[in-house]
Amino acid sequence: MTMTLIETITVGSGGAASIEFTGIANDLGQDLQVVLSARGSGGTQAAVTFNSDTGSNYSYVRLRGSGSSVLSQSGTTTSIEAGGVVPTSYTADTFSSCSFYVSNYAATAAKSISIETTTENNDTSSFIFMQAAGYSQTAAISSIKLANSSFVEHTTASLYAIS
Amino acid sequence: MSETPVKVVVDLSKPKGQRESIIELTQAEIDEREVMATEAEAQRLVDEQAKADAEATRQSGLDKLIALGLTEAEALALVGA
Repeated sequence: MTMTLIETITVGSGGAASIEFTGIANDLGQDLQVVLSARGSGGTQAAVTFNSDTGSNYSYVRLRGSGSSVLSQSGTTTSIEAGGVVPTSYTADTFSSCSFYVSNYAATAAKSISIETTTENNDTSSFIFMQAAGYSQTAAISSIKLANSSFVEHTTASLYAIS
Repeated sequence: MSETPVKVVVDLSKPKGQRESIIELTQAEIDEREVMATEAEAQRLVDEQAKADAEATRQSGLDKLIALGLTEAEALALVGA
């Protein structure tokens, strides 16, 4: 297996409401992986959409632990909540660790996605997500958008091709 | 710093060094962002309530064990400090 860094985005001063990789060629490799280190004012979620598609074409099953409770959730939504963002109410200057893997991104079939996330907080409350998600559309993935109310400066997102 | 929120877009079809753009959000994107902020606040409240409920359950169990005759140290050893 070869993992090739395609591009890294680093949010600058002033923050950004979303981070987008566009123009993704369909011959980068078999799979894609996005590694996100994020902090934001919009809660713990990074909403992931593909190909600017905001239809109800995303499904998920996930486990979510907060340090005091565990939830098992599933559903169909208009984006995948990757849960990869440390909210600004958490310990200063801490960032999340989030990775999501898109299998067969260029195939003419529905796509499967696996997501692992942890947030960091010097308190009893923090989050871990384990998630299996699906994108029901059959077009090759040519763009990936990660949205929060506002990603803060120094948030980074890296796109890798796996071949 | 711009007053209008922005997005960072990297167009991988362009050569390296020319890919990144900082683009102001459209009104529709701003509206979507506000919905996300509202949902985030709602989720924060749910999380805080879950945390409070868990602590209340723990304390209730502790109180019942003490009422049965255990010392506080013994009860804490059972439920975790």
